[in-house]
Amino acid sequence: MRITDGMVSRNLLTNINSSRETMNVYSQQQATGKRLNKVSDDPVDYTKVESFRSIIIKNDQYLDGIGLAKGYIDISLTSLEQMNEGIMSAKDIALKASDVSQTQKDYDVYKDQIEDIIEDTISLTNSTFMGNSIFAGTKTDTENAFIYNSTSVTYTGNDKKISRKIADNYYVDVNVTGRELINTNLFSRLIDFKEALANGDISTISDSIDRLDEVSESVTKLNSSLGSVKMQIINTENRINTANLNLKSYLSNLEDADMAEAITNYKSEETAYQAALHATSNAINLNILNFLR
Amino acid sequence: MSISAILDNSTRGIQANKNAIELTSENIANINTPGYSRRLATFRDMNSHMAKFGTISGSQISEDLSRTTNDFINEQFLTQNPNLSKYEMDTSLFTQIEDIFGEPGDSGIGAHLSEFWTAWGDLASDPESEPARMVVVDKAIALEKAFNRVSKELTNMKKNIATNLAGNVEDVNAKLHVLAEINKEISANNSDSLMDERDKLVSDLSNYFEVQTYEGDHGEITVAAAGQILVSGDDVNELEVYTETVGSDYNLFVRIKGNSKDINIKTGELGSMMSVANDHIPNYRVQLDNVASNLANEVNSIHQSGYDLDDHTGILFFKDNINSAGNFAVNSLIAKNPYLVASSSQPGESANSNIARQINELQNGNTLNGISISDYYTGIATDIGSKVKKSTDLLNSQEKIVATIQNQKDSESGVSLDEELVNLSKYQQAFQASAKLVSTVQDLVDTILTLM
Repeated sequence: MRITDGMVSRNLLTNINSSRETMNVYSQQQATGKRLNKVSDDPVDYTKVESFRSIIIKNDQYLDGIGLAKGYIDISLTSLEQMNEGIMSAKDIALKASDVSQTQKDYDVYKDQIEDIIEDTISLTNSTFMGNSIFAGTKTDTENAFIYNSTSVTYTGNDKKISRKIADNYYVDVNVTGRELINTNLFSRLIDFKEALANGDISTISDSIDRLDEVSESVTKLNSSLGSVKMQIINTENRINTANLNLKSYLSNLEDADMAEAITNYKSEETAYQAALHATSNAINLNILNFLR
Repeated sequence: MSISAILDNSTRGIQANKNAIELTSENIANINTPGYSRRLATFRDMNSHMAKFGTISGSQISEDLSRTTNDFINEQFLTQNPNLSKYEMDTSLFTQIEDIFGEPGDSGIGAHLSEFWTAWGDLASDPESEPARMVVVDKAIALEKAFNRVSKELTNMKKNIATNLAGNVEDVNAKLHVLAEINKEISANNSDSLMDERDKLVSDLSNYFEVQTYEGDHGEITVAAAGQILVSGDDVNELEVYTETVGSDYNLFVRIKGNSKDINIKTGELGSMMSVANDHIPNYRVQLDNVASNLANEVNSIHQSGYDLDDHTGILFFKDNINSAGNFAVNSLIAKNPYLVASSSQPGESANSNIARQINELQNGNTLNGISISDYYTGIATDIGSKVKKSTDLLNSQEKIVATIQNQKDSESGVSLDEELVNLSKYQQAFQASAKLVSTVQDLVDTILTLM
């Protein structure tokens, strides 16, 4: 084949340009740290990256939701425990009051103490989490869902459970409703006891010991079932955290540039580039003119 | 044989080699001229055809200054070059589309879509929150802007293609006219440089579309594209761009001025521009519109059934009747007042987040052609990316094919400096020798004259 100057320079320029292009790819990988800067860099991996990324985002969201749900449950658990303590002290009072040596004067003192316990309990049932009533069912915007008028307790919340999604197709109820609290007879037993003390009704006073025990048992049951929900949530949280760690490492494999590889490739391409430049400078200077005289 | 005959021969020798040197200088001067075919000096014996027995002398003259070309290679070039320019244009246009979508990136629709779902998820975990509602509305407005931007840029891109197409067609017309001029000249005066110019114009035209040429007896050519004659003799059929309205969109075609039928151009820059403008951009737009309208309708139908914190219900989240990415917008009531964002499926239940959750779960719902909205969108971006990759790959291999053909073409017609310099010495020596002959003849004449 006849080789002309035009061919030589075209071929040399093509080689130099292709080295330049490859170097550009690797230097971009080094600069961004990413292998996938555009969809066209690897359309197949891009689809995988997008699906991994969307799962990670979703999981992060579940983790955020789990944080809030845990806060909700923690406040409920603490309030229930404190209510239980109130009931236990009421029971202590009942034990003391059922002693035959007690007089009406003593009963009146006890009655005031029970009154305090009832009021404490009411204020606990009106606890809020981030400004929302926690024992009002889904009517969390109700302020003071429980109203006490010294003879009875009225509940203005509703009986609905608050459902929260903590993972795909996994829902948990994070609240104890006011109705559930009322069904423990918490308020009625305390009010009955208070009235018995006011009236000096010995038999009701001594019955109250067992009745308050029953109430405490029911409250503890509510508490422990909510506690087990919290355990479920924590287990899910751990599972999601592990899953996310794995997903992030898959994602990084697909999306991130292997720095060592990018640098090595860059270096070897740089060598090729220098060789091409060297060849070019030799070839374009090579001419029969240098030898004619 | 007379002495003057020797003188005659040397004069011709001087003349011939001087011409050859002139040719060499022309070759060297045009070494970098695109489309220039090197000229070859051929020498032949002037006396051979009338040589008589016993004559010993012959003389040389260069007459055939032949242009070196290879029709077969030229034809190959004309078939392959339109593909090269099509792939080049495809790569550039698809890369533009890829840049418009900007995936993967923070400003792409994909990222905004995912933030939109996340905002609803956050509201679902905290349905009483007012800030969470504001975030939902902010993200929705960001999504609205992203949809509107991509839609607008696609429209602009198509407009740019239309402008460029018209510009290219103007350029083609100018070239066709020059070709017709050359046809006229060439029949009168068949010159090498006119032929070079003619071939250069044809190869330039092959950047725009595939051209067929038929050479006449005097070097004039007929130029045709997709079976329609563009130049014949000194007649030119000018091309024009015309647009055909299709619904709210339009298609671009090229036809001969005054003809109703378009020229079916598939390759070259014009072929690429028309296929991207008429097929690919509308196709991506339809898919993008599907995403926007499906998203708006699905969210609206859920949101409409929900209740906000003040028990308002029946409010659309996005505007009613959204059918494209261009008119995708958040309901202005909601944009002004984020408290209208509904989260509860029942009145009076501030902690009920069924609506927010259902909207958040739309991201997994197979609501669009059997797959989820986000997956459908990822499909669009993947398709564009694949197109860029495919056209780049095709471009790379086509570049090699055309480079090979060009090398073959150069091998035949290109100027080699080494060759020219060797020829130069050759001609120079022959010139010197011929000149020497003249002085020898002078001596001979002198010798004879001294005898007298």
